[in-house]
Amino acid sequence: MKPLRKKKQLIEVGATLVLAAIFSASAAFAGNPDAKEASAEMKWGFKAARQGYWQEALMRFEHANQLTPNQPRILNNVAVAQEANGLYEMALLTYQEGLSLDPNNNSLRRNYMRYQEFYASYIAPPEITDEEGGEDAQENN
Amino acid sequence: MRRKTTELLVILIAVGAVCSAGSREVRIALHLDPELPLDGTENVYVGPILIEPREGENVQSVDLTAAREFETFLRKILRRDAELHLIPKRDDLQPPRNSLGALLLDPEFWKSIRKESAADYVVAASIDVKVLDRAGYTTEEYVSPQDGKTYFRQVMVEETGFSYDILLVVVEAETGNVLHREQITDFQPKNERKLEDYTDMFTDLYTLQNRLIGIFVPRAVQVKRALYSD
Repeated sequence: MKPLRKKKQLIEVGATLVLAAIFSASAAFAGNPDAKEASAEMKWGFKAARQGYWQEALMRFEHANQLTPNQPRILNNVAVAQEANGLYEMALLTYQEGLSLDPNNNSLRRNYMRYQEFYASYIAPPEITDEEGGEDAQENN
Repeated sequence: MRRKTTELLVILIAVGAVCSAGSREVRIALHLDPELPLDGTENVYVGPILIEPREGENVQSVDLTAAREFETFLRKILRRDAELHLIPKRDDLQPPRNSLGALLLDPEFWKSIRKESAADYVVAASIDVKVLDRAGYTTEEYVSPQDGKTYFRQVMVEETGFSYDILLVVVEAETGNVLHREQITDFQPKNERKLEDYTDMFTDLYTLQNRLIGIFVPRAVQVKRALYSD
């Protein structure tokens, strides 16, 4: 009898948790239709990104950002999509904007660090200027 | 058994509900433009590949082999991966000087290559190879996890292989202008016993290969990023 009661209790707790999550999300969207639409855009954008359609993903994330501006989560996705579309300079600004809003956002911070590593390695590697290179070459003579 | 399964299921649902709001890792192919805007119709001449040992050092047999191997490697990369049209090597086009720096100051040399071979671009390089065969003890600092104090310990360090220092230039043959300059340093680890073996010196040098290809053709770099799903 006891295990059965415990089982029921567990199911009740779980169901309550799920329902609470659904209701809290619904309540958040109830007064703000833009937030609901932004969330839907984020979902579509994420789906598109997973399939490799990064142009569509960027469009969706940017639309979400227009609907609910200054959201670090959305800015993170915009920055990643900008990177995927080769808009590296814009991605840098977007990452910085997101981090200025939420410096403790782990995903944003990790992405930004990875972006910096990539940027330094491939886009703007610490290069030897023509003058320096020329001098080196001349020194070797 | 069934009770445990139910418990697990409930926990999974709760965790799943929380996690669905989190971020997930995605793989992206980031595209990189080539350093030179080539359309693939250009004629490219490879050479000269010069040996420029470090100051105070003489040319050794390894340098000669490395220069020859590098030329073969470069030709293979440019033909196979960059799909460029390479002009066959000509023995009559010998450089008047053995220093790449001095040659770059002499536009007439590059113009003469164009005149003789009809090349649009010339890919030249200077190379220095050092055989590293070092093994010894070095003192290293470490913090003990037991008492948190800093101690010093001796560590055996082995470093055997070839260290490359390459300066690669792409010159516009018509004018003698340097269009691109790439300084590449790389290391090919080799077993101590194989240090005398100079064949395939540039095989599996991905950094070198990647950077060489990146000068001439677009490429993609695979990276990971965290993306929010909603």
